[in-house]
Amino acid sequence: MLKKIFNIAINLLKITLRDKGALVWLLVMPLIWTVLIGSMSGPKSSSNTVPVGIINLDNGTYGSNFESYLAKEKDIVIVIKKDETELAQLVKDTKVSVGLIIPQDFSDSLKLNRSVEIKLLKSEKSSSYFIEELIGKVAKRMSIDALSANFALEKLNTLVQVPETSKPEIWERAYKIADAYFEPSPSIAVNYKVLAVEQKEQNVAVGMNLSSPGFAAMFVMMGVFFAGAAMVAERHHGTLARLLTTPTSKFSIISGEMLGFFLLGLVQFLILILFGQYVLGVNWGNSPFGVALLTVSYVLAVTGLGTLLSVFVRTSGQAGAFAVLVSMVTSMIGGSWWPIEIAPKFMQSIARFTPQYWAVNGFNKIITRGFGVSSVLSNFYVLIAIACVSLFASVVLFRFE
Amino acid sequence: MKKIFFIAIKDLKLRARDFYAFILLLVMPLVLILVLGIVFKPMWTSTPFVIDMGVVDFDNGEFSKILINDVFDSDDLKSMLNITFLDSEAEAKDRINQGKLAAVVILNRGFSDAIMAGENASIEVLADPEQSIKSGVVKSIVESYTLEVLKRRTMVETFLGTVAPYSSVNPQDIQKMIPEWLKEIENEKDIVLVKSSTEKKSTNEIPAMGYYAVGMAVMYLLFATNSGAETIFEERRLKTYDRIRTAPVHENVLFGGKLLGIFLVAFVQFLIIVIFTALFYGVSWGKSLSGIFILMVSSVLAFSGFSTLFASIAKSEEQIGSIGPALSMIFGFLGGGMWPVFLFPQWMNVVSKFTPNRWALDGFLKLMESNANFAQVLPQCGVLVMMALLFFLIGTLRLKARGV
Repeated sequence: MLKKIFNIAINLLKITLRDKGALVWLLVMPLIWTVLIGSMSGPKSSSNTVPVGIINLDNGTYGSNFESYLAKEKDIVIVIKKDETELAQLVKDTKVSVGLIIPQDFSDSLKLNRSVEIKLLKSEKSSSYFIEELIGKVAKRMSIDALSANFALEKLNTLVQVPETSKPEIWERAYKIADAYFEPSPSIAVNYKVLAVEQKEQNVAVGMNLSSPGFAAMFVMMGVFFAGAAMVAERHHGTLARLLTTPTSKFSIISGEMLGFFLLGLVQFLILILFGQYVLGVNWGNSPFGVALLTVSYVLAVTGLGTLLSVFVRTSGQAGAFAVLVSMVTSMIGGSWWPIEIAPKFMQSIARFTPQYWAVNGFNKIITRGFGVSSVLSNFYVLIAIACVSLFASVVLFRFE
Repeated sequence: MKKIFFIAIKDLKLRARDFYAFILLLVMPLVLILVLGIVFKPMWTSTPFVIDMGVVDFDNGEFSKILINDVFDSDDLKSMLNITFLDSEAEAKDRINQGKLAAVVILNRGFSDAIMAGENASIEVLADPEQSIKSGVVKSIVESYTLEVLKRRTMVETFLGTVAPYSSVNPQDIQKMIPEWLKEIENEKDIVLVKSSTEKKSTNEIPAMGYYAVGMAVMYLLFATNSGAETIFEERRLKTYDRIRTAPVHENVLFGGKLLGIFLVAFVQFLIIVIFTALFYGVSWGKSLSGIFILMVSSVLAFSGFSTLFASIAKSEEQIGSIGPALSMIFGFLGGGMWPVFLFPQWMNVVSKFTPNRWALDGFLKLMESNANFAQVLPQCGVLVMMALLFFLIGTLRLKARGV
């Protein structure tokens, strides 16, 4: 019997692979999608630093201080410009992430305790949250330095008669004293540590943030569901009925087909992992055994659900439509398309009913947090449970037309 | 002419009989739009959310207490921060790894003392990599606190450093004045301000629900027209086409009727989506009804044309059924239905303009954002109609050649 099951599975694989449409889903779509998503990561120069354009119109020396504080940040490379329209164009073309214009009266304003504005040019086209934060910090630093120098001079003047000619020199000295509290790093600071394997720049999600595990999960579900659609088409065209006239049990047939779907899903997931690894630079390799456990249990769960789905649809057209609908919606809810954190609480609870949630959550534990097999065991068990329940339900409900 | 119409209606009825499928094709986009809209509503309208965070206070000193009681517990932040007090760093890491806390603030022993003594001091914030938005917020709150403390220290210390060489000044006098000065310092505002100016194109901010309503509805047009195109093959397979041909009707009329049928079905589905989302999801499609109408007609024409072309290239019904959805998703993405187009790299932006989705989306968004009128979306409609003509032409010629 086992041999029959195996043969049916292989047969299904053969039929599917011969079908150009299936190949599209297995190979072409994931590749295209990977490329599309990968291209969306925004403007980056070859050395992974972010270019910032600066125009320094300052009459005094402190404008260049601003420049140098910013230049010290290792992720930033400063591009000096002279012309505002040129800078605006660079920003618009995303050749620089943001543009800064330091006004003429910058140094003067600092010395007079008068507020001064640095113009920041940015474009909706690039997410510059991180850079803006850094710029804000430099601005704060100079504010404190200037405030301190002014304060010191003012209070000194109330205690001692300071001759007018000495004031500038004293101011500059005071400024240096103040600034010392920021070198090499602010003397009172926040030590921010993300508990992840890679310390990546934390980008605030602009919208969807499709991740490699996330859409791998979605495409595999779609792929397996489409295979389920093929099975429906088969039923529809009567080939299944013919198969049943042969001395093969109902059980063998179903098992064979399910094994076929399973193998299909597994192959597809593997391809997507490879694309993710080599095209998107996702590190799937932290815990190969953990990844294997999750992949196998997820594909099992999806196979079970796919089989269950095929019980409910009548035509291949419907099955195809259902495949896309259910896959996209459950993937979105389950956290495939964006970090679950941004969804409202009740949605996060609903998410736990989707296999995608458990798969993506498990993969993140391995890829992002750097944990091993033991951390994903609970995910594994839930996925296996989903697989068992749906497989059982479909065997029970399986009827022929 | 009347015959074409009659054939189209026949098709419509036939498709409607497969009620299940018809509904499915409608339910799909509506569910998707709903899910997308719900998820993105909080983010796009910046409704305050709640952050589950932790605090480990090993310091118990004055400055820690200020952070906990005056900052975290302030009227502004109280409702947003849901704080759990923990006893150890290990416990903190554990909760974060389980995703239960977005961030934990750790105040180490001697923090307040270090500040009083003028030494370096730091506050640790541990963050959940999967909750970067929320942990980022915690980080900025704590940072503004440390900067405030730093500001006071710097101002006072700078003064002390500046006054040091002046031996005539009595240190005791200074000490007496410091508390008063601290109060003054509290009110000092930042001098260096950074003001951003973004090239803002839109006058009306389109809410998430609206954006995705358009994106998804347009994406699903291709699904709808493709399933219509499938019937071209279906009729051949079921041999019903041969039977119809025996009627005294010219082939062109039959074909024309078929195309009209595809158009009508897709149009009706799109219309239902527009009405449904307007009524139940509160989506405003714009003020110009004529603009909406003409854009709808041109979009459905373009997609109907595309499906015809697709049907002329595909070898079987199954091929349309399997490659079709893939195309719909890719076009949907490229047209800007999932991510806003301004995030695209230049090459993608160019490719995007080859999809009907892009032009439809541009048109609808114009109607929604800038309250455009009929005339202002004519360019988009023009392109869509041209695409429709091109697709229909090539598609029809090929189908004729294949003897459909």
